[in-house]
Amino acid sequence: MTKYIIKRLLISLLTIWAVATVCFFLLRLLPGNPFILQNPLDMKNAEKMMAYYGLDRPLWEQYLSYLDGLIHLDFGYSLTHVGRSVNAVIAQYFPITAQLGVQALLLGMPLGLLLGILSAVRRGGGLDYGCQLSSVVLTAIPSFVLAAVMQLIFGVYLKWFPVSQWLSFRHTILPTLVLSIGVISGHCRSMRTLMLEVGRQDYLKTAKAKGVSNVRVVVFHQIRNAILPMITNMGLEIAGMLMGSYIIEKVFSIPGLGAYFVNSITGLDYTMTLGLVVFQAVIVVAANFIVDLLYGLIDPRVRVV
Amino acid sequence: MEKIKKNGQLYDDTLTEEDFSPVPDRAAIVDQIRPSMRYWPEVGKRLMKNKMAIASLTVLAVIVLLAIFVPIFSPYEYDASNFLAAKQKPSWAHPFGTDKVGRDMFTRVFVGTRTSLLIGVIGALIPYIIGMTIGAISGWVGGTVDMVIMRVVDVMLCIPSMIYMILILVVLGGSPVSLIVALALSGWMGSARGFRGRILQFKNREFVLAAKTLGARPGRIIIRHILPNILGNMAVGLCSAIPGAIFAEAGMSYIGLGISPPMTSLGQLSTDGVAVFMTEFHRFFFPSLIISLLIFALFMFGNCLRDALDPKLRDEDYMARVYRRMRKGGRKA
Amino acid sequence: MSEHLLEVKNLHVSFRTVIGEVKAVRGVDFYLDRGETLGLVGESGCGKSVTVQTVMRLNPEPPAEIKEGSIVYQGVDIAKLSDKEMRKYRGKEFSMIFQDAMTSLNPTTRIGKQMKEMLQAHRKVSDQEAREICIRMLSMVGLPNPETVYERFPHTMSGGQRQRVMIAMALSCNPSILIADEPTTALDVTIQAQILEVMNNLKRELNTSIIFITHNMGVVARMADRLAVMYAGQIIESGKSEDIFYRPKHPYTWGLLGSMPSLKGEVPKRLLSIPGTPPDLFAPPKGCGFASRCEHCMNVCVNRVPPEYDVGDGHKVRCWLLDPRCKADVKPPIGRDQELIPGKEAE
Repeated sequence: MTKYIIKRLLISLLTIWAVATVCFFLLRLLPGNPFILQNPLDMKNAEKMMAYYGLDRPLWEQYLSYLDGLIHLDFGYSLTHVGRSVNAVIAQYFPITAQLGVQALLLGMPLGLLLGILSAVRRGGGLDYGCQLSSVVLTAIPSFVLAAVMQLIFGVYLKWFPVSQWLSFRHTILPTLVLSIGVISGHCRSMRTLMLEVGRQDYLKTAKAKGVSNVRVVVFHQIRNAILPMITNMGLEIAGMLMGSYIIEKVFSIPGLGAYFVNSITGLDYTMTLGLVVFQAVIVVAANFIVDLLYGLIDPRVRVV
Repeated sequence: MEKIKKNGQLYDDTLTEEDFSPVPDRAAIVDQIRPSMRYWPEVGKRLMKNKMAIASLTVLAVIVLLAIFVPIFSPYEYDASNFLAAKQKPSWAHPFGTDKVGRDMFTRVFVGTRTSLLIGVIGALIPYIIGMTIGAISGWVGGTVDMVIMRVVDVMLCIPSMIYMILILVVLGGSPVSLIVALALSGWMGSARGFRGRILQFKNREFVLAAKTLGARPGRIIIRHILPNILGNMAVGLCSAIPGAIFAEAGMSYIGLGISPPMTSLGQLSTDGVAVFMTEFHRFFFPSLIISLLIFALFMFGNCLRDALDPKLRDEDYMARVYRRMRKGGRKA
Repeated sequence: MSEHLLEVKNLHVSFRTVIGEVKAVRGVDFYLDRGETLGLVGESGCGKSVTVQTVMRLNPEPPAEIKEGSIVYQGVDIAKLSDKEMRKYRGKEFSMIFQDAMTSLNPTTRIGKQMKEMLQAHRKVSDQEAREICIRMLSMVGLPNPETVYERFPHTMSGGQRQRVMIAMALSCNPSILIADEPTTALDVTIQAQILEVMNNLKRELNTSIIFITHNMGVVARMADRLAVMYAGQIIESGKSEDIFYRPKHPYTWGLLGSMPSLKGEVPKRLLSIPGTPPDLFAPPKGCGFASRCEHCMNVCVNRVPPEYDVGDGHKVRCWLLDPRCKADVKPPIGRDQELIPGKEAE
């Protein structure tokens, strides 16, 4: 067990290092200069700034010093927001993005699983039909269009929820809804498929032949076995949701990481972009790691002893 | 052999001696062997029987035809502004109204559809082909090559696809070509992983080994023997990759990095529409409607294609619906 | 009539599908007495499994539907029971073990928990008592270290071990009838013999009746007191095992017996095979189901379903060849009285 964990941990660290390295050199391939971009007329200032941030040193030297920072969990300073460290930006804005994602997951995952289970149990019924159709319809609409329609209906006409901003819990409801729609329909569809697949297995017939109640057969045997494969995909999903959606953040004017991310790339803010990418990679790797370990604990077939 | 009488009576005394003579023509009573079906014609037939497939194909065809012909025959140029006709509501002259500089929205929407379709189809196809090739090499060669490729895929999947997209759009500018390049670079990993799995699944099957024994080269084995087995799955995968590419373009447009004006796309038009949907609802409604319809039809067609390839699930769903209805009817009666 | 433990009469079962109705079982009659083993034989798709799963009412209804007939167990017509009423019978009165032991246990649940679940569904027993009963059952089926088996997961055990667990579980509520649906087909030959022995021993010990389904005549010879041969949804010949093996009357039974290699027989004989395939049960033939594959086919065979001829001593055959008006004198190619039943040579 410990050996397995150590091995996984090493691979995770290696992956993060590879991401940081690839992105570091990829970003430097971009033409242009962040300071000229900010103030195109002042070449002298740009040169001064380059020297100030150490960007005039040889690339490998910069790379090594970046890695050194990374080891000490220091992502460096933003090039465009003077005086702000990437760590500070993450500390300030990530909680907002994460809150939105966690809320959407907390709403979407149980609801999607429940709908999937009900659809499978009452296959062919109205709910099943409705779920299948609405999941295709809702995912066919671009999220910003859907968000706009929801703002119009719930914000402008019904006035139930504020249209945008991020001030109180009420403000979070609309964006959470929009973001969770994808989660709900995805979970509903895969859970339904898995439930039906498990329903065809022999051990379900055995369970029925034992004479236990139908509810017990469904809950104890069918759902239990259907939900396990869902867990393997949860790592990437949780990571994706934690990083939120730039589009949703923009529609609802939410001060999350998304805006920083896009602006840092277009503004050639190397350290900021790199910091955010590495941060995101850490989340993905960590989520996968935790989910794999959890899965090993839950499913006896892959239990690592 | 001994013969049986029951209570001294024959079971049925209407039978004649004729009945008990051997059949004259044995060939006539042999069960007719069910006609064997060829795979793809059969799939096509099932597809054509499915109303949803016909409906989604029709919607797709109409949108594609409009995208081809509207820009050709429209009396307006998509980028010709006419300030006298600005901000008009839909009318006979302008079925979808006009925008704030008086460009005809009907023409613009279908020029945009053209762009989106182009990006969607090519932007889905190219990463798919790249991924397939890399996946095939990885799966077929195996060993260190496989290990290295899969590690690279893992690392690349850890970097958000948005970063590739934004980087390339920043460098190359907002043209359909750069969008396709961006999609190709950020989208191949998934299909490489999938295709590798498929190759591994078939690599040691008997028919592949047989072909190998006969001296077929790997390329030939993959194309002639493995590909036909997974063509169906690939078609379904492609059907869902096209909406993905169209959405990616729309998302980039929303960020402000998509197709640069005056050229347009559905993503750009609906983004513009969202900004003004309170005042000029038609500018929001029509592009959003067309993009949603297009994606919906593609999803639906993909689903129908999957069902046609593997009709078991759909048949079960259909029967489940019939029983539900039967049971409901029974309860009422 | 009620002296039999279980009596199935004129059972018709159909499945509704998208392309139409599959008439899987078309008028099956059989009975089972206490402590007896009935072998149900036939090639795959002939309706064996559907028949016994109808007795357990395990076929999902719909698509399955009991069109006609009765299944009387201790004076109750099971065919008319609701699913909830049926639950009292499943496991407690009838138990079932399935073909593929590898897949018929829940992979994510410990053996003990799965066994206990069944016990506690039918009897009010504490966890401790249930554990004791289960462990006793596990040792009865010959599993070493039953206490550890109780805590194990199915994937850590071999196919033979799992099938033993299935038998232990199936018999833990002491049912009157054990239905075994090809329980040895998925196992190695050596393991097969062991499993059959376990079943035979337990049957004697617990006085359980067994319905044993197989397509393997050799296996059934070791197990069954009586045999019923199924073809295309009908029982075409039934009777005592000896009668069927020594004096088979139906051409299909000849084919079945002939396709089984025998270790006796000094002169190497050709194995018989039955040409053709079973009929399409979407549109079952008007006459005898076997007509198209039968080399003795007569005009009447094509047009009318043969009645059941009683050859005596409960040996019943559905074949027009036995009709007194049939002039053809067909010599059975197999089953001379002197040939021993395979597998019983040792006794």
